[in-house]
Amino acid sequence: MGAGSRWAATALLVLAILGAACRGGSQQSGEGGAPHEQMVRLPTTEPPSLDPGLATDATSIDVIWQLFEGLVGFDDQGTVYGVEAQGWQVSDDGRTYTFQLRDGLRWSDGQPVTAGDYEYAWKRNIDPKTASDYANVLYPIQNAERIHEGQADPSTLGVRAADARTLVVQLEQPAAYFLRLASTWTLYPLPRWAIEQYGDRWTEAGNIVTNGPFTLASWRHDQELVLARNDGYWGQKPTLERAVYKIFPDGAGDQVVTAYEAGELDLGTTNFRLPPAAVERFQTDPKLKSELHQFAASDTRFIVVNHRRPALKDPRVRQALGMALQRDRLLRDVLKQPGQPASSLQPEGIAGRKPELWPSEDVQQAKQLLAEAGYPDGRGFPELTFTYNTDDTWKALAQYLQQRWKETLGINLRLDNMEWKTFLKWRYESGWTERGDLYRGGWTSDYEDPNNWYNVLWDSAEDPTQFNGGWVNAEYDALVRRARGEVDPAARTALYEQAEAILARDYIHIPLYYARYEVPVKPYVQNYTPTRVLGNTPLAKMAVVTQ
Amino acid sequence: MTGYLLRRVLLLIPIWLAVYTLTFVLMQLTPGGPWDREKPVPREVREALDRKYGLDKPVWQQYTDYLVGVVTRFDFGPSYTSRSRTVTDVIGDFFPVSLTLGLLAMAVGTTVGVALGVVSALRHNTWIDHLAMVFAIGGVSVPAFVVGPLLVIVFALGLGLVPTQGWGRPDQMILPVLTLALTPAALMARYTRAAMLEVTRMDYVRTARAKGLAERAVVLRHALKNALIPVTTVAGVLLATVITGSFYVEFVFNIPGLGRYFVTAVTNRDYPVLMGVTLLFASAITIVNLLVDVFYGYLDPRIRYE
Repeated sequence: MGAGSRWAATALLVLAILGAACRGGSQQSGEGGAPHEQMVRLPTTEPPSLDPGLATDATSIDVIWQLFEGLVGFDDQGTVYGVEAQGWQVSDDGRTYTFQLRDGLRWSDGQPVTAGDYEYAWKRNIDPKTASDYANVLYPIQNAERIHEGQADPSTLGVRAADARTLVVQLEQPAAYFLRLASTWTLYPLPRWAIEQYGDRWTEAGNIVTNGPFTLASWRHDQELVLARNDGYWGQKPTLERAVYKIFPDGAGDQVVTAYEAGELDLGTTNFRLPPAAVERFQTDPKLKSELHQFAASDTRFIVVNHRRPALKDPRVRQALGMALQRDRLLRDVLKQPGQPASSLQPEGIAGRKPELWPSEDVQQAKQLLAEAGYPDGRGFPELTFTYNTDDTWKALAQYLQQRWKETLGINLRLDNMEWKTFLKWRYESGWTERGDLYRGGWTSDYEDPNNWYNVLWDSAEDPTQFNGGWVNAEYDALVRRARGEVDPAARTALYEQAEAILARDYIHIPLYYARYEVPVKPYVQNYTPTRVLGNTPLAKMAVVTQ
Repeated sequence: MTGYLLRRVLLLIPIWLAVYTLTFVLMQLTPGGPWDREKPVPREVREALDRKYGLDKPVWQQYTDYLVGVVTRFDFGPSYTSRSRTVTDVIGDFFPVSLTLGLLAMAVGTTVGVALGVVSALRHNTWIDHLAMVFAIGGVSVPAFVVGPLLVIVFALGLGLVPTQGWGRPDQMILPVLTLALTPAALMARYTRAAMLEVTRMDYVRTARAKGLAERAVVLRHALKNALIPVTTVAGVLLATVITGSFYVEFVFNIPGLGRYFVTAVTNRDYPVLMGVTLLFASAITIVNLLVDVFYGYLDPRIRYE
């Protein structure tokens, strides 16, 4: 054996030992990747806040959803069920809700969960001093809006604990969607003593007191957040003993996929889209392909139309723009995104929706409509501008629209992109209202009720603070405002269906697709189906097949 | 020396003030604010948030309030994004990580770079020299966003020797430190080589050889020590760069460092974090420069500060 080969052999040996040592330290899983314990490792981004009263983003809410719970919940069929409330009554006028809490509810520090904890939470969240982003979710409750604007004291909010297990809520006016609101995180109970003791830091590990199926074991900011099964939980206890959230930066889709393939993660989450570079690999590699799953989301992507612009005032023009598109091609070849072509604005699961009323794709008819509107083959039609926030996906969309509308309708499209926050602000300035034509928009349900779409988005009173399209229709406004308070579910749906017909006829914005979640999941992880609203991870139901 | 140091330290005050003012003005001019979210925040909520964080006050008062808070209470304000933390918490959590990463990379980079530089200079115009310079040019030209993922693919995903991401255990540090060390190593190699080539032609080196000193003593004690003076200048700048500019490496390897956080804060318009980190980075750069100047005096007795 020569000196050279001996040297090489030694180097190899050192490498092998090093490799073995490193592996021993970094991998908890055994052969085949399956873990030895009931534990999952999953990616997330840094949650801005674990305070249910303050959280507004999907990352925070996913973790809060494991740690806390509220009065009621909804399944994907839209059926309500009691969580901490075992029963509730609604008064005949639809303005008083009375909830009875279960017996034996406990906070993670052993204190009982009482109706007073709900009363405290709601009054605290509506207090303008708390500065909660989602305070307006509480507006249907008596005095909420006045309190929030500083014209009344938080103690006057229409909620009171009649006794430790009875919560009475007084609404400003009937709101048929109140139970939906009551299922959201902003209306969860809060541990007053912890908040008063630790102030803003009450959500740190060690300080936080929770009432859900998991507890917060540790939280190293921007690194790792560990949840542990709450063995004192009143209901069905989770199978998983631990869940380790590995925290990645925003936009780190590539790193997440790499960590998943290296066996450092057991599943992805809805926080991370599969990066376009990985899509092809996941579609061709049979093993990866079998691990990639699609799930429904309550989420529509569309193009916002500026109704103030003369050329876009005519509904035939808007319809022509929408009917000229080939959405299945757009999704599959251009955007490479999971989703379903959308003909209507409201996604599946929203009562009142009637996609069949909306025009379907038809280039010939699109051309005809444009001609009827006075622009045969696009002659005389002004150049339009499409604005989007700087991002590869939206850039691809913009280029597709430019090419497609030029080819089919003879319409020229100018593309304009902006940095994210600049884009968000621009939507409310003259750059959009006076000079903008189209921009990329989308909405995901906060709660799966028609109110969260028909009222919150398209009512002309809400429009200026939402997508700001400038569409006004008095008949529509009257219908959805009546529907909001209608207590009879069938009558309510009928009202929303009438409103839907107006949206479809006016084709107020151009629907593109219903987005779906696409998440890689290792074969040994069971029962992963993210919630349709917000894509929360169902940790309480999940399990792993251990060795 | 003491007088010089004092003057230099006092000079930090106008530098900080200038950085503070410039950053403040830029933040005022940047379109979009912390409460511009995809789902619009209602007007009353915006107003409540502005009141909570003092953004409803006149601009000049926001300017002075923050300054007074920093000077009198060392309070850099709350983070708008992470609502349970203050800027001081954020810096306390993340700066040590960036500092560790930067110092390790600098240590590796300097050792490798100086060694390569010395060897190339001593073996001037041989294949060793050429190979080392190919590495040096490669190290400067190939950016971290190519090297980082490449190392991950080969050593983490392919060979499975180290994890793909994370921070804390030694095995997680290897790839990021190597990636970040590449540029300093390459630059140091080039500067050391050039300086060594110059120094070895000097009379005193020839004298040292003529005296019959061992080659080792000639190279280390006589040549290298003098060659290090220009190299130290570069090292100082590089140190400041790797500590404050490791954003991409932190992003690729998912390391919770300040560089990564800073970029997120820009996107989120998290003004207090931006301000705090900018001031910290400005301080780091000025302090490193001061240290380099002081170190000159030690290396070169001809340089003395009055």
